[in-house]
Amino acid sequence: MPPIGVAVAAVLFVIGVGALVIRRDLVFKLLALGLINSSTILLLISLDAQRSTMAPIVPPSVMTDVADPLPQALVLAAIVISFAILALALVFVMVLAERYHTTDALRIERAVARETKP
Amino acid sequence: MMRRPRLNTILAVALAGGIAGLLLWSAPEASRGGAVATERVRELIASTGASNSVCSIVLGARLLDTLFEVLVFSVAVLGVRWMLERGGPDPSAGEPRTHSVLAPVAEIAESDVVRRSAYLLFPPVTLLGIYLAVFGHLSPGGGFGGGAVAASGLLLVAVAVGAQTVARRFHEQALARLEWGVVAVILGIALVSFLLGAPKSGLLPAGVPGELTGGGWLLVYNLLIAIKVFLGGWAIIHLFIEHRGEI
Repeated sequence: MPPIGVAVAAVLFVIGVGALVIRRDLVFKLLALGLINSSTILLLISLDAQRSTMAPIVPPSVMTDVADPLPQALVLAAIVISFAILALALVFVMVLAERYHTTDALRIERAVARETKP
Repeated sequence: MMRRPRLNTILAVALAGGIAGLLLWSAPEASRGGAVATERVRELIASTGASNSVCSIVLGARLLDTLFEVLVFSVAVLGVRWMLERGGPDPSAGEPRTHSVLAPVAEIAESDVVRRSAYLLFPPVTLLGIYLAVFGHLSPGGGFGGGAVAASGLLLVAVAVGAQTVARRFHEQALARLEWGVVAVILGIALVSFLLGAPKSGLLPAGVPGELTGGGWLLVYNLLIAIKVFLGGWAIIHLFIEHRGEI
């Protein structure tokens, strides 16, 4: 039986991918990317939650059964990279919206096709 | 009328479902806590002198990964700055900047309560950020968290009194230079450490494990990363506030 956090992460991941593919609005696509990222983070930190382990930030004298610190280190990287990518993607969306006056991916594709048509 | 879902949509969602199912199936096997993790954490603390084993991994065994993480963050800040300052329609090609899609965001009303609260909260929030960075190798925290907390403190003041008012107190060019200078110093220290054979080299005297100076270079890395994240975070926040309502 998987821990509840892993199950929630799996559901969030499917919702995120579904929204990323189905929604045409670029802002919604970014929100979906954020959801996928959050589900990944939840998965990593839930892996040890099924055990009654201590946080891996304890003096060695009181250390008995600690959680694996590697997923937590990976989460730190995931949060920073996610923030950076989200900020950059948001700027791209702002520039596209400024140029094409819409955040609809399909309309932007059509406008670009019209522009590039000889 | 509801549209029929396209084949690639169904395939994408099915693939995501498959990955999620795989996660659910393999999750119980993936946990490596317990005796193995405890032994590994003991070794980490003994080798780096830092009680925070996550920090030991991030700035020790996975230092190269963290350096690229800092670089990705720096490039993202550079991209945001470049795109917001020079991106968008090209005026030279007869494409004027427009303000048509969204109405400009109204200025936040001047409120004495909000302003005083922000000035009251800014020092403790910044102090908490510095604390998280300085003691990051001993307790929960670290450079990334400390820098983000300090940047949020500045964001609070920017929301209360206006980003322009806060930005006038800084020299933006100097901040950008300082940001890249910090990145250069981090890369320089890491390069020297790698050349000397180990991420935690003997450049700083090794202290007693668990004490503030016991972590050697981890303290320096955490402080530099905190400065970098604080400056980068403020640059992104400031640019987004400054360019709001322009689309």
